Amino acid sequence: MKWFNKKNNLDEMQELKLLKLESRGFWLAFFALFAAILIQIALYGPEFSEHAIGEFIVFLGMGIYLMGGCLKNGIWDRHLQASPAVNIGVSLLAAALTGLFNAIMSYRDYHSIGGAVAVFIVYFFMVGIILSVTLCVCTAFYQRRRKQLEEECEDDSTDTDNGQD
Amino acid sequence: MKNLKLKLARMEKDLSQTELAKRVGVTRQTIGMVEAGDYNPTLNLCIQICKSLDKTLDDLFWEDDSG
Repeated sequence: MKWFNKKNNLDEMQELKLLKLESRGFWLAFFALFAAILIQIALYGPEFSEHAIGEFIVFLGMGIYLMGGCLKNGIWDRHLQASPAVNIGVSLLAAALTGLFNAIMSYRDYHSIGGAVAVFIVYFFMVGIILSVTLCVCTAFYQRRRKQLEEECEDDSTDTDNGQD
Repeated sequence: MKNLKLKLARMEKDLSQTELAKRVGVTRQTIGMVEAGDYNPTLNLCIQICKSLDKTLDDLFWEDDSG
């Protein structure tokens, strides 16, 4: 097949640019899917899963792939520290947003402020607790993996030093 | 920052950007961007460029504080 070449046709600068483009494409797809899921939840309510199951599976797959890849390579986040305080802060923020979204949906469907407040509280605690625990487990795994990778590097450099001596 | 040292070394060797690019196995655009200071090449590419132009890394890629 002459139209396909196993050898990379790109040089390092083009490869870097392509990686940046692919990265932007990934995040665009990620947030577009997120927006599509939110819109379908807003449109269809509890029956959204009948309409958006495909999007939800792809979105979940992207998230799991990215998280698994980062943890395996000892990478956390560009800007956020892997600490319990940050984890709890992020969890509370996500819990509040999820609670607010669901409270608004509840009020729209049932016109009850009390019900909306109850929905907010349930989602806030449920998402807050699940997310905090998940992030803490991921942080522990990340720190262990990072330590492991650093120790492997130290072993390699010691071997090299010994080899040179 | 523009890499004038690289441009001068290339011209001393009477090479065009295309010819240098061919020697080191990249595109002309990449050489142009390195000379224009728009792309930081990897160490491997720096070494390839230095070998092609018979220069050292210091000659082409070291920035003097005074300069």
